[in-house]
Amino acid sequence: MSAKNIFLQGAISPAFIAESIQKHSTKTGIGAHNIFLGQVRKDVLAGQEVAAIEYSSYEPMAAIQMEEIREAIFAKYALTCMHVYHSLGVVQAGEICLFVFTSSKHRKTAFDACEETVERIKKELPVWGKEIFAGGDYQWKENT
Amino acid sequence: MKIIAFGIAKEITGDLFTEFDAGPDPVSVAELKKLLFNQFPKLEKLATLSVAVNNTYAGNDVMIRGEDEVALIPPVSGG
Repeated sequence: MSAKNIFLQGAISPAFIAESIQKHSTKTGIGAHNIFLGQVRKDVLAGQEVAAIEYSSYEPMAAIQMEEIREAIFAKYALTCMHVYHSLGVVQAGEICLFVFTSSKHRKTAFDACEETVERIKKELPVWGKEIFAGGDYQWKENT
Repeated sequence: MKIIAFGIAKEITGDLFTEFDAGPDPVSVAELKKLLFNQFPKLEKLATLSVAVNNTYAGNDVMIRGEDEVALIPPVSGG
């Protein structure tokens, strides 16, 4: 099985997101898009500011897990399409690290499918973020 | 068996840790975790440590054979 690669090196640029929206103009059955963007937050932990997050993944497993999530979401919701991108490597605070894009005829389907996809990604996908502090120290992030 | 560790689990086990001798017979995920916790006590202190066998999350009862690819999955933090 060849699952789609969802990973991009570094931050996800606003231009990439804009192009992705533009590509849907020919799909005229769509009436609603919903987009979730995850941004690296400049948390302050024990007095130290997070400057960036460095992401790593178990890529073959992540591809398979993402395929399972995609299949479950399409089975549950009447989506026209769904696109998911996640960063690998260093993403600076303020930059985008996750892009989930769902499209359907009507808004509720797009909202609900997007939310469920994001929740499952955060809980299940084998991806790890190392929070790098301004001073050079780091700690491994844990999703709650 | 071949073991790949990720994130903080990789830091605990070290970069060079890729092979683990769990004995001649197949072991369950629960047994493997016990053996690993003996060798690397810090693994037991993680909030969670999931095990994936051949790219799929595996419950405690799953049996692991020598040719399987085993991955140590500490708490994930994507997105």
